[in-house]
Amino acid sequence: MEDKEIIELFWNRQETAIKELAAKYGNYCKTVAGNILRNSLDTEECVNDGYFAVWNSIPPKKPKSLGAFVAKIVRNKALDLYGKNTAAKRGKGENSLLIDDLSELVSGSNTEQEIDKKELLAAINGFLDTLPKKTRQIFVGRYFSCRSPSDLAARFQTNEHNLNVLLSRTRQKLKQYLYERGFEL
Amino acid sequence: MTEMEFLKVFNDIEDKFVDEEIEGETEPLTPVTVNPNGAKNRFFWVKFAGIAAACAAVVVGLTYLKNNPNIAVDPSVTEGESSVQNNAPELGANSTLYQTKLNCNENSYDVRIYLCRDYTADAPSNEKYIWGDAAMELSLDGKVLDTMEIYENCYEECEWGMPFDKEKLASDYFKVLSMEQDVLAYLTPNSMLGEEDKSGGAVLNARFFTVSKEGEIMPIERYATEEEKKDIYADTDELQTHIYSFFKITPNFDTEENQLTYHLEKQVLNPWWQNGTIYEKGDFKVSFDFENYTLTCEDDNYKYLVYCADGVSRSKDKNVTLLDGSLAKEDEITELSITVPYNPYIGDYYETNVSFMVPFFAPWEDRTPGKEGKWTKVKEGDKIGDFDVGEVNSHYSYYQTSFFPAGYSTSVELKGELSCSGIAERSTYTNGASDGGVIITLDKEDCEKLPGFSINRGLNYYGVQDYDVEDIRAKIIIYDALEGYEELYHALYVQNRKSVRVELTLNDFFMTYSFETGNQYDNFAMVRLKNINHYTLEIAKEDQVPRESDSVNEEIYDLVNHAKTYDELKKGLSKYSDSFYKFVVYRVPDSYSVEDTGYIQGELKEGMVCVIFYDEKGENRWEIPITEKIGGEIILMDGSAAAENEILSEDDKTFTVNSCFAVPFSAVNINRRAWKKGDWIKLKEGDTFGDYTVESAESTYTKPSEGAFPPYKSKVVLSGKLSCTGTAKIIPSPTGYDGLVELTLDEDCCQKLMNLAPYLDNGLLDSPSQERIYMWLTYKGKDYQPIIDKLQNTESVRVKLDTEHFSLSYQYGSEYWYDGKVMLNSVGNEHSLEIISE
Repeated sequence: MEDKEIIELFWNRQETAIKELAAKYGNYCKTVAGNILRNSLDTEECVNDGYFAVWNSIPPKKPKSLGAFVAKIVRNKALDLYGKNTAAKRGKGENSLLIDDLSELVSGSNTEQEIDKKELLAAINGFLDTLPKKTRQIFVGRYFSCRSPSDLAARFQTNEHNLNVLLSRTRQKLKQYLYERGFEL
Repeated sequence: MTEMEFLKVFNDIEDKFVDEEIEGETEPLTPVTVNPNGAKNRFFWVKFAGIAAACAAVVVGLTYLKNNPNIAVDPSVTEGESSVQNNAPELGANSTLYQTKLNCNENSYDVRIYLCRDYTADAPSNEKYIWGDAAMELSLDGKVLDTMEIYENCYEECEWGMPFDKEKLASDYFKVLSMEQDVLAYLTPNSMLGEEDKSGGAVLNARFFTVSKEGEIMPIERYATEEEKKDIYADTDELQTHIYSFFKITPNFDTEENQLTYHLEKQVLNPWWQNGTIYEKGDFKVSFDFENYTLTCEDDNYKYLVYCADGVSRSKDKNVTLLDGSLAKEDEITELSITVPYNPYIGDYYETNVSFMVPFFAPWEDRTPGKEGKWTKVKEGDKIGDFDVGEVNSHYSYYQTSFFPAGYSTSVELKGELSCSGIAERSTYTNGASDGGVIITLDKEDCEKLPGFSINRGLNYYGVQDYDVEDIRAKIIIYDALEGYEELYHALYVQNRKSVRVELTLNDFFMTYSFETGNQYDNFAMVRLKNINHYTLEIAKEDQVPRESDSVNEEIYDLVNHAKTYDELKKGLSKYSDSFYKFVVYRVPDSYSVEDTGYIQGELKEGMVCVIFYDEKGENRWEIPITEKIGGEIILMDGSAAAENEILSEDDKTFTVNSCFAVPFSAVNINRRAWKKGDWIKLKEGDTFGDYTVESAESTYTKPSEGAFPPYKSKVVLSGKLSCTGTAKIIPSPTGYDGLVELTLDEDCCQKLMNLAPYLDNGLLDSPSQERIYMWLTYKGKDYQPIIDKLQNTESVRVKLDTEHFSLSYQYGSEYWYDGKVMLNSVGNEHSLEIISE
């Protein structure tokens, strides 16, 4: 079913809207939430919460991209839940990183200098725009969908080593790109 | 910044990037199921993409899920019952697409190819494609031995709504090769895969299947050669085995024992951007190994033709060809990635530290890729005009299957100061999406200071000359974090100007150009800031006289916006006659047909006023649509202007008038369009409509009223006896509205009343729901409880409504659930509701 038809179902408050949403984007949402939470119950709950949030948001919203809309909601919820789940561990001094290679990009400490996240986002978007499509898909796959390098390697028909090299280079480029624009993460 | 903070920021990346990522994840439900236990079995997949002749980027996938029971063909789904089936009834789930016998191992196996799911898809060119996945079933003496999903998302053109020619599909796809073991060839002519067929039909894609001694479906495969491995593992110590299952086959061939003799009837050449092999016409042999289920080309001259999924393969010692057709020198290649050679899905990607320019407004033939173009190589340290060239890079990425590189982008840093001016516009025509920035189009004379990088790509996939008109000017985007954005935003969106002149000074910046990268600004010549501190932006002074090709200046905007009458506007504009060749004030639709208005951006609506200015030559023109009001006029729903005494109140954002517009419920969409003439009936206090008298009427409009339908509401209070029936249901809601009962009036009742809902086509939804009139029953309603009690046991209840005093209302653009619906409200709840049985 086309996105606009699903959105119309939401607007008309048809329960089938969620069914169609799940049929079309459920797999992806589960992938993202699952990659973050690594727990099937949490994942299921998170995705269902996401659908619920979409139901509450449309109307009034009419997202241009329904897939991105629901994916962002689910991902956000998954990150929140991940944070909650790991809070206890952090309290005990354990520092578990969701995506360990991000440590190359971020300092890991709460920034004293307040970063304007809107500006940072604009810069990240600008950077993503500069990437070739394949590299961008891999990068977004890693840091948005939180896919593992091995998943991505299979998806893009390369080996894990090559993929890690590509990710590492792209991270360095992003770091440099942000640095030139005044961001030190 | 913590990892989590970063990931949270990353959550809000532009939707288009997420959409790219979602590609391939949004498979509809399919009766083909995958047994998760099968993950231990051999699993690999190969995907390849082509660029369709009529569909710019169609990914054609192919999946292998090997070994029963990985694939289970659901027998419960019968032909024509696919849940996602759409307008292709003869291609139902599990319909048999092809049936044949394979003689192997001294047995005669039955082979059936099922189409496991199907649906039609719209292509950008409005053609329709049928998509489906197929599974192969192998049986002997009626007993199913093995199944395998052999491809997914194959497609073929079809005429909309017409029966699909299944036999054509089957004959195009499958052929039995009779050898010492039969082989089923799954043929995919290039055109079917949406590829540009560079071989002119001299070769086709093929996959081969045979049957093992154990009675399993066996794909014929090939392992990477030593040469390929060198390429694959050039920068890694890892050793893996790469398996390929795509091959080329010539349409004509002979079979003998375990060999095919190919007859290549035409020379196959590589396109301009490759420096690969030329395959001369001639005969050569390929051999099947039925022990190991592999295939080998016996002739080295042709092996990469056979091994590649396309008519062009990369030569072993691949050279990188640059945009001007020359070979890159070693030190010009900064990154070279041949991730999986000979796999057309991945293709190659390389990055160089050189770019190619032409003067900014150079003719298109000078921009032809290859040696025909008049390209000047640009590299760091060069000088272009007043600028020193800094960092340069160009990215090429392409599939072997495509005629053109799948993606190209270049970025050149120019060091030096650029003082320029341009027009900031509200319209954000940027390949269809806006990311919140304001786009400034630089003046022509400033563009001339810059180098041009746009490419004439010749014929595009639609067979149309691909002129890139956007390269006429360079553009720069001012994002909301940048200095000057607030002022621009205020001028454009608060003061509601169509465009604003700005002056910019940039110190060191990038020029970029790209195509087919998915970038929002693909095909545009873009100026990008290097550093937010290295630029200034000022809105041009009001007294500036417009220059050639510029839009009108602020003074004229003021004049236009404050003129009390059309005559005053015309008179005021006349003093600018020295600056303009002429101007014309249009009142749509009065003058609409008098002059060609083809250049006017956006839709001209009835009641709209538009001033069009021409330059000295009378050629270039620009316009100010004045959509909301002129001379104190307020344009109402029917496109007419409100009289002064009709306006009840007005503030910065809204105005309220003492009327509302309705159409009979039978009115068709075209007669109830927003802001246009139609069957609109203006209702005011004291008017009558059918059996009812208008007690009061009021509408609130939102400024500005151009573009998408802005928030609007209208309400009319009516008196008169209304007796009607309808169906009451509990509205399903997870948001705290549980227990809310909605009464939908029967159609004949609606016909007695009126429709307040305008028709709008905003590109997303055709129109808000207007089929019926609805009434909500709340806990306060005296007749609520018996209905809610009954609804505990039944889905709906028939109800009779009687009232003599009620209102009809409609609103759009609110956050309320009844947004977009015509609602009936009983004034003071003075109504009776009765459960009826029918």
